[in-house]
Amino acid sequence: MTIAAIKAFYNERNIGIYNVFLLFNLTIICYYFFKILIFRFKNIFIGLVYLLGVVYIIIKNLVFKDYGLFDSIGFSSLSAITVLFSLFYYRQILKKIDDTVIYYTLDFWIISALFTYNLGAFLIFLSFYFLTDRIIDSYSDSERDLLTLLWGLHNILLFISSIVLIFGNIWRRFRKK
Amino acid sequence: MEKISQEVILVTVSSIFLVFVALGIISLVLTYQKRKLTYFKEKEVMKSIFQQTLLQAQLEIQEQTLKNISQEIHDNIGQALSLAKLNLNTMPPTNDEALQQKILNSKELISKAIVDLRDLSRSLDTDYVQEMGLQRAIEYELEMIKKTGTIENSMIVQGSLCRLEKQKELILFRIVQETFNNILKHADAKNINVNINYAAASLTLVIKDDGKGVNLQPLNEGENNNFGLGIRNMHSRAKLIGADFKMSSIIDGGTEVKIILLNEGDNENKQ
Repeated sequence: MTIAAIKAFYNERNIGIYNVFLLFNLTIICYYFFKILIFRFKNIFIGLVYLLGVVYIIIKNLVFKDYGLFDSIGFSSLSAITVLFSLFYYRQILKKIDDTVIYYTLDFWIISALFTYNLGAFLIFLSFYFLTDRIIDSYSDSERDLLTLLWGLHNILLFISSIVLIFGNIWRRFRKK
Repeated sequence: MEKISQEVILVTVSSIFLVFVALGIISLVLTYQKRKLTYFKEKEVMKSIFQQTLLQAQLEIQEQTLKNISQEIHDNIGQALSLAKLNLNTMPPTNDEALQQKILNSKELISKAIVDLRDLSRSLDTDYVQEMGLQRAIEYELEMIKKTGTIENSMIVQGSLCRLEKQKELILFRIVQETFNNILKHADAKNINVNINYAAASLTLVIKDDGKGVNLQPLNEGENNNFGLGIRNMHSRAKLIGADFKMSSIIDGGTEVKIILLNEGDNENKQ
């Protein structure tokens, strides 16, 4: 009983940290793309996205106090937003008429790493909640292993995106010399 | 359990597929950018070639015009003046001393005009400039300036005389002429110093005056006005033959024009 209570507390706190992390990520992503992107309704669009995200996090955490499971909707939405912003960025650099070499810019590699990770992780985030919800009653070892596998895949994606960023940055510095 | 397993596999496969899609999009963006850069470079090269061709054509037209004017001066005006002088020479002597003096003055004026026009004709004639060579042509120009009696000049030559391609010499001479013209028209100078340095790897030509100087800032800032037109023209001409053109000026301290032409093994002959 005590162990179960500790586990529940730990789990609740863990999900809470994830939710704070979601808010932190949303702020960083919105601010970064706000600095990078150039289009007509940028202020309104990014501002609205940020506002909706913050409202969602507040309602979910402070109003409904939903700390039971990992916030799939929140994280997958953040992934979708990052992918969308990244596509905006690619569109922007392709439309730009000048002789800037984009692969010499750090922003290109940061956004490429974000894009790779978030496009791949989007489905994992989205499905994680529903899969967990479906097996929560039985929750056998084999089922837990399956979900662990999914989470492992997420870590591999994170690793790939880090490789993209590190490779890009090293190559950029090497070519600039 | 089996259904969950299938769903996890589906999510895994889909995620991996999406990662490949992401990498594909990044590669496409990079490839497109690379092509765009190549296109920009080609466009720049073509633009540069076009400008050079245009400038070359302009210079050819200009040289042809100068040659025509030179021929006109020599063949028509020169002949007319010579005829006028001949007529004056063949006039019967008169006892009227005042008239005699006027005829004498007129003959002197006509003689001076003939000499000046011949000098001008030579200076404009492309063939004559090319035959004389750059150094002699500059000396000739300086002699002409000296004749005006308003500006003193000197010329220092370092190294052994070295002839360049005729076209290059002509373009350099036209730049020098434009510089002299600017000094005479605007500088209010007392002295002009020309320094020619023939080195093994380069030819350096420096023209310096002690005039009132000029503010080059508007030109350096790329302001498009008539003031910089002549200087830009000189700059373009120098660029056409691959020479480095530099101009510096101090207000009330004079102006210096420096042209450096690197040798590319195209020296015709050493004298």
